[in-house]
Amino acid sequence: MPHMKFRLDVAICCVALLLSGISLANASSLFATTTLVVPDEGNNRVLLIFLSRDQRPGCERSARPKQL
Amino acid sequence: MTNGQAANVVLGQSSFSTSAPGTSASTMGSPSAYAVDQVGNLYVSDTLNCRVLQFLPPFTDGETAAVVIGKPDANTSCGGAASASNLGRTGGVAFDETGNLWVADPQNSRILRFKPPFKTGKAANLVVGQPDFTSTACVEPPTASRLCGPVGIAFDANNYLWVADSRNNRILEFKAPQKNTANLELGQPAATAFTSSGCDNPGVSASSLCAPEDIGFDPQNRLWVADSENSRVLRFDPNYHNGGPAALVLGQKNFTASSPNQNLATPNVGTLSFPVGIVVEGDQGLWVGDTSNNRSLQFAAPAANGTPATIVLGQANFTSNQPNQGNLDPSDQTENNPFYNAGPSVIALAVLAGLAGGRQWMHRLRLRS
Repeated sequence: MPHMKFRLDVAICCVALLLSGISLANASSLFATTTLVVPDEGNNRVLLIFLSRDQRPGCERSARPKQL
Repeated sequence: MTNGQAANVVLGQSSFSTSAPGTSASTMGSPSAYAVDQVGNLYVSDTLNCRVLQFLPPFTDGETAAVVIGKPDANTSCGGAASASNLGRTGGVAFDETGNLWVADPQNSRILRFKPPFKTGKAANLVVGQPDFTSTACVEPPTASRLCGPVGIAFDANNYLWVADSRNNRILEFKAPQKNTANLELGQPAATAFTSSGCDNPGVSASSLCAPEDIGFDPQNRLWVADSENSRVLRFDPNYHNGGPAALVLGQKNFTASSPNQNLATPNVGTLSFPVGIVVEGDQGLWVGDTSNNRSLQFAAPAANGTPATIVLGQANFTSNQPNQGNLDPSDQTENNPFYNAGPSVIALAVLAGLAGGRQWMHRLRLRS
């Protein structure tokens, strides 16, 4: 039942978003990001560098209105 | 991921183009290490302020620290006698599996353990490397219970504490830190285990170390060491024993070479110059803080001696090494003596991007390694 599975994914994503206080309209911008932290000693600072972004299963599909 | 990729967030400065040191809740003095706790808070070793700062997500440019460990408030820097709540210049930081924060205090030749919950000025409840919270001596010859300038801290798959005892040119394992006696040593000959401290004793080899600064474990429980004065990174494999040899070297072509950048006029994709940081990126390989080359290098799954790096950050290419790429002021693409810590370090963040004109909101944070 791929269609049902998809709706379940969307439901899980919606709950997560609502718990976070975020509307479904912003779902397309939900990403998982791996971050490298660099203590940049000589510049007296710490840098956060987002290395990669992977859309979370379910959430990226909710960004497609025709599939809702 | 690209060479020279820009940073996204800066802590310790209000913008990417400033670099002045400071002593406040939002400024730093030569930060050298960091760790992440189980709920995603970031802890920065603020070395020249002799303290550790706690930052809460979502992280924003110039964020104010929530907690200060090692000093009574956010505006106090180094000074005063060593105690359970007063740190000297700090080194590596790491968390054990039960959530205790461990802080290297190389100026006082000791490691301190802080039990959560954390609050500003909190006192440590255990010291390793010294007999009490006020002793700071670096003894010669060393023993299994005394440290000298320890920097890197890591916990292995068994939650055993490992320490880069830098000025004793050795790595120590403590299976029971509360007993304050190491049970295993790397970097010194087995015949003189726990009692010798020479740099490259008796010569540069797979078993020698010279000022090891940082350590980290990969998912196979293999130990990676930033062997700074030998301008190399070593990998030691399990079945560790006193004086045992490394199985792999990066930055040099073999185990007997030790020259910065392999004696070449400029760095290249396979050289290192006084590396002081290691970040294990899960199964993806590791990052090295190639400090004197003012760059960070990624080595993707290195399996042979001298394996070349795959990505460079802080420089536009693999052959340049000027601080801040030769510019007077830094930017979001430059580095100046980058360091790392020994604890879980590459972190996976779930980020909600694109809201309110590019504002980024971290929804969830978990440890990657």
